[in-house]
Amino acid sequence: MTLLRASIAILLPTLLLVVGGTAAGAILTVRMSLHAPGAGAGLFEPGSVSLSSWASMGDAHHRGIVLTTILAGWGVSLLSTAIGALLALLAVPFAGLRFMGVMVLILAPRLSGVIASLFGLQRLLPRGWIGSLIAETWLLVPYSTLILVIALRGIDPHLVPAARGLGASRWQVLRWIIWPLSLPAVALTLQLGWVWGLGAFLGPLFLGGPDQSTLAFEIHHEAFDLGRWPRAAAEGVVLMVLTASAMAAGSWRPRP
Amino acid sequence: MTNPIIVRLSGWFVLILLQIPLVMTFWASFSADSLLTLPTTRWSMRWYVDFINEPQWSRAAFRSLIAACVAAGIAVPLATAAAWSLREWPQRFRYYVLGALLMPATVSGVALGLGLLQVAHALGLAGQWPCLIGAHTLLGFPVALLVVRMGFTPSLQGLEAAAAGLGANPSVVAWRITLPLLWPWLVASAVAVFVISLNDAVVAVFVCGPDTETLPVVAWRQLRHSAGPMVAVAGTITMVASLGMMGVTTAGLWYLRFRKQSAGGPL
Repeated sequence: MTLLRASIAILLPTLLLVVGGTAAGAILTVRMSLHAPGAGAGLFEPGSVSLSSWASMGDAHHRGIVLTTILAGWGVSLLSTAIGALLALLAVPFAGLRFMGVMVLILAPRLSGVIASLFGLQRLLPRGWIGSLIAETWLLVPYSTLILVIALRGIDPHLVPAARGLGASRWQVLRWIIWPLSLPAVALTLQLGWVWGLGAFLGPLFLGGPDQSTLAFEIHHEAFDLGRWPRAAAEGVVLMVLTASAMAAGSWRPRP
Repeated sequence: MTNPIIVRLSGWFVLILLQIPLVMTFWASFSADSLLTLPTTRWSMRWYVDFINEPQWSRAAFRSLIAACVAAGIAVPLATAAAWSLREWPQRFRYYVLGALLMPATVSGVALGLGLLQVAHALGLAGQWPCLIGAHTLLGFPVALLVVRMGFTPSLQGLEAAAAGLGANPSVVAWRITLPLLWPWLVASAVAVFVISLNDAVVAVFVCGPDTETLPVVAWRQLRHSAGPMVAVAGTITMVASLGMMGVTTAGLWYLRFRKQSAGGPL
């Protein structure tokens, strides 16, 4: 009991800092969305109460943006999981330094920083749906692969030789051994890909056109380009609700 | 595990494709021209020299390094304390607390940046160092926690219990058993937070002020309007710093493991 109390005392400051910092940001975002836009240097008009930022959230423009965000989330999730699975299957048979070498190459887009990545991607890809989707997928693939590699390495190493010994082809091993055993990890990768994909920002910003505006892109545009911070905050709230819904939907399991 | 040949070939093809943008950035940074071209005959280091001589870029690089080191220095002790204390929590609460601690990783970077900017405004810290450091600590904390948690293995718990059973008090157990076995994970989590902080542009765009602009933020502004060879240099420098840091740490950990193995000690 003393140990439990000590552990609670140790964890409390961290919990307050991490959860408090994130939650306070979310609460203040909701609060800012209810203010009138600021005149001059301020982010909003202190003391004002206004629903003007929310009034536009239901218009055709914003409905289109929400739809694009959801589609981008699905697209990025599906693509990054498929590519991640391919790369995980490539990496897992290796061991030792070779495995580490392949993993460094897989993680390179993330380890190298977004600036190096985006600079190169801008030179290679066309602006529009394709460029935006590929760029966002490209940034997410290392995470998806990492989750799937961990799952594949957790599969009992005796199963594959046993199946092969019983006459199964490589495709049959993949279909009847690897695939069913990695399904939970695939589901997790799809869910996380969806959640992260909903926040698609860098792809639409650097490689997207006007039709690829996502909520995250729009928040940045409203805040920094137009100075309409309360409207950016309202869009931020919509994005947080979408993300929370995706997390909840992904975590839902039917009762046995 | 051997995969069908088509799976292996496709995997290698995708792996090579993944590297192309990075190679292009590296290549373009040696351009001799002011316009953005990929050098083929004339190679030059002029943009690297300009990068060092232009205070806007060199100061931003220095700030990035400071922010990354401080964020790692704060996030890792916090994550270690959290990981240690989570072990003692009852199972039914543990996953809720862990979920709450991982919250910053699930919020979109833009939404997190927007929220943190207002927290900073409310505290009167907007655009200042504590705001940037706090944001990067928050950003790196979930990864640090996950990495450190991997170090708290059942065998470590067994050794701790054995030491306690032999009469060692909790501080002796922590100092003589837990920390020596945990430190490779602490180093790995520090490197992870360092790399996350060094590469963050999204949250930093919201929380940085004119005196705290990091390298990705300066490069970001250029990238949005007219990307020149200087952005390629900035990208190459962050790429080399991040990969170099990971490489040195991995090699160091492998060497120590090899030395321990040669000396006949536990792995």
